[in-house]
Amino acid sequence: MAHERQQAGIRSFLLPLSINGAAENVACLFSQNQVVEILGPRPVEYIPGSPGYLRGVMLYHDSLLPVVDLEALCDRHQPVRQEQYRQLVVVRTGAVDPVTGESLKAVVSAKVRMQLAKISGQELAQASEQGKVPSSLRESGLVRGCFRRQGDSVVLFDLGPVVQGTYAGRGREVCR
Amino acid sequence: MKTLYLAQIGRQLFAVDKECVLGVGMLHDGAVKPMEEEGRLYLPLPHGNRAVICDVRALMGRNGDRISSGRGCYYLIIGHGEQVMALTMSGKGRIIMADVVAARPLPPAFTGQSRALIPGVLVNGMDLILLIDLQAALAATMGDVPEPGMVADRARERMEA
Repeated sequence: MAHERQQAGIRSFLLPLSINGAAENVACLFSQNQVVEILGPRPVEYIPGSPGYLRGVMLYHDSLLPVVDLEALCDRHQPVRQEQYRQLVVVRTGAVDPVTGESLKAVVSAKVRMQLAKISGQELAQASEQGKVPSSLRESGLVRGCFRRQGDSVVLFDLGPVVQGTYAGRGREVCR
Repeated sequence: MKTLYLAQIGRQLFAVDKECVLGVGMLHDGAVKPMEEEGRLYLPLPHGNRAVICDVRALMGRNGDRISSGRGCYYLIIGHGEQVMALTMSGKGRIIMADVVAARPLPPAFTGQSRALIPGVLVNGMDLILLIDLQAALAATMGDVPEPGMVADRARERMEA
């Protein structure tokens, strides 16, 4: 039964990204378990002094969540772009708050709509960083895996260091 | 409960301790204009005093829609230690009472300067009110970046208080 399900593909979400220096289309993969909710545009409070990849904070079910811009995260040396987003995706990061022990969620801003996709177990098994990961993505140090799918690069990110605040000190940063 | 001054900056709400507020000013035609010195803008005040202008929108990298420091601009004049700061606002602002103990810290993703500038967030229904640390705002305006240890020390002091 489980084998049949794997053959049919695992229901996932793809977020197309515009990455500088990437020869082909790049999409970020989120598993169905990772995605908590996909929201329409709503107020995001900008926080002065924060790095460009953090768009601000958002109130979600009585919790304050950081809003992350994945494109800015992959292109940290570029000036901060303040583009409009179409969707806000609440995701589980798998990381825990080192102080409270709570599991940390993040909100990913999406300029385009998230796409539903069925990824086969074989494709997931092939996901490795040895794939053709665009250099800017590799430099981010947050890529857990990458595989090719229908001519596009599909990337799995580890947002743990971002939500735990340990990522901010890495490399030169363009702050707000 | 504490008395705070609520300032609307852009579409966001910020709050500072009312005890630090010296007054609210507005620039009219013919009034004295902000002057620039060493890359910083100062607002002339009576008796030869001046206040360094702090534009929170500029600190958020939102220079494109920063509040004009020209005619019709509101300033919140704040005294902090021996320094006087003029915070640009989108309106006159108002006084509120709030339980600052209920303020929440920013998520752990925010570190360094952002954490120093905004030590807490008050939730009021669907609105978020960002509490401004005046010392950090002044340091950011003057171009001083607080040391990470200093930020942690200040956060600890606040918790103890």
